[in-house]
Amino acid sequence: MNTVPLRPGLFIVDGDGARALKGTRCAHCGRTYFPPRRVCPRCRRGDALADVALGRIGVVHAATHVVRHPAHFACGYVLAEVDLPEGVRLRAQLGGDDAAHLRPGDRVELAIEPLFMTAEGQAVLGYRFHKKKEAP
Amino acid sequence: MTGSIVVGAGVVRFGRYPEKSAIDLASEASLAAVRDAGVELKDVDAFFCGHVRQGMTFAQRVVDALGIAGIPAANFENACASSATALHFACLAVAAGRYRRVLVCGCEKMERGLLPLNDLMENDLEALIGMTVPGLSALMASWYGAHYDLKPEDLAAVAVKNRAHAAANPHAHLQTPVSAQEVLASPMISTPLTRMMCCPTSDGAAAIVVAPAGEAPSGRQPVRILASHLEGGCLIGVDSVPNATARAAQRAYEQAALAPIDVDLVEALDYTAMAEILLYEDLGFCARGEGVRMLRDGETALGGRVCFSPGGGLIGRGHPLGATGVAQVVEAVVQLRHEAGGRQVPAARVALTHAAGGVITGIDDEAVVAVHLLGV
Repeated sequence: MNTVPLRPGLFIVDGDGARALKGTRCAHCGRTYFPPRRVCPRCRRGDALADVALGRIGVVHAATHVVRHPAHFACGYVLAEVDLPEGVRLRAQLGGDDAAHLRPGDRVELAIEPLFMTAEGQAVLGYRFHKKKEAP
Repeated sequence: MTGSIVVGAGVVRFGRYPEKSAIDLASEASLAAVRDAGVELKDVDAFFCGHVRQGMTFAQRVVDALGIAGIPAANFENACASSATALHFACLAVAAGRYRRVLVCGCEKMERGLLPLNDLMENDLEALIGMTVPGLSALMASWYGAHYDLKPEDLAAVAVKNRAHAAANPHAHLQTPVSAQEVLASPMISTPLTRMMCCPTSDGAAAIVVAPAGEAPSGRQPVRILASHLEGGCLIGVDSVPNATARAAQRAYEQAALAPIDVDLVEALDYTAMAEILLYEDLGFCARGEGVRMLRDGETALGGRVCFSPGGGLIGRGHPLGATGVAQVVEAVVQLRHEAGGRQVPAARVALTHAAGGVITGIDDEAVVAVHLLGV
């Protein structure tokens, strides 16, 4: 399938060779941001920011089923706020069969996958989180 | 104290005006405010206009329509706080001694349906991934419900209350009262928020005349602007506690040397029922988690301890984006003059208005918040 990224520079390859979300970390204060930033809003300096791969496992902070959805989506979806281990809270869709049953406190895992189709028929590659598969 | 007073107020009923232009609406509201102030158009020395999507030089087109082209005019875009921001800068300009009669107007003609998060999608990552305006409030409801007792019936109760207030407001968009059952049965927008728990899109305009304290024209009782504060939203997890609304309210109370207990009525940004409950807490009327109790006890209804949305709020009066900030102040002026008829807050002496807006990736709450305190 012909795919285009949601925006350039969204992903980075992590230590395990897998694609992850790219954030930036400030060496002065140790804070991590997503999406990447030019200046650390805490230090108000931009001289010690470096790209990092964000952790793939997060915890659902809040979730809602978006029924009335923007026109670039073909149908409704579950939207969530997810807390990542670096202290980043981001908003993303939840995907997979269990998406509607996920609740605040549930563990989820990053999935890099198409989010919607462009008018030209290209799949737009973004990110969702799916229910974390726990080891049996 | 800001050193400014409101000497006149006017509003065009919020609703749908396919046959009128936004310039018509802004002109009508402006003329009503000038007439109410007992001044003449030639006395207006500046025109500040808040709007979001009415295009380049809208303010200048309105002053031209009013026949006073040539005076200083400026456009203020700050999402749902656009005209509240215009008022903030009018207060600063009056305090600086620059102008004696500033006409402050808010106006919007809107598309129907879901409000786009951003006109330029490429500017906002979260708009692309499917974030929506009601979705922001729905996420807050999800978080709130995971920590405190919040039932769909509570959210419905906010809508029932504000629609009942709106039914007594001849300037409101939705003047039909609704029952909790109707609110709960209306179409789902973003769980747990149904359509009637969200504000409608509306057309409308509102205007006020701002003057230096002590320079009230004869006739109407002036309303003092006790505080005017503008605040920005902060990054999630960095410094967002207390959030922008709580910080703005605190600054406004300090400016006016008042406390929440002094406030008789509030016109705040109830863009959803959940937003209103959180505002009870963020504006300092109760602690985090106690908002639902305030609602259930009727403390925020007409006749309660502090009446929220006496004019119907955004849920009942409607929400023409740029018009809302000044429309809230118009309602406060009408209440403080004790001219609000069936929706009059008894013995109203102090009013708080809160306008906020903008959803930005990574920002914890609204991008911009403007709080004003008014009193007689």
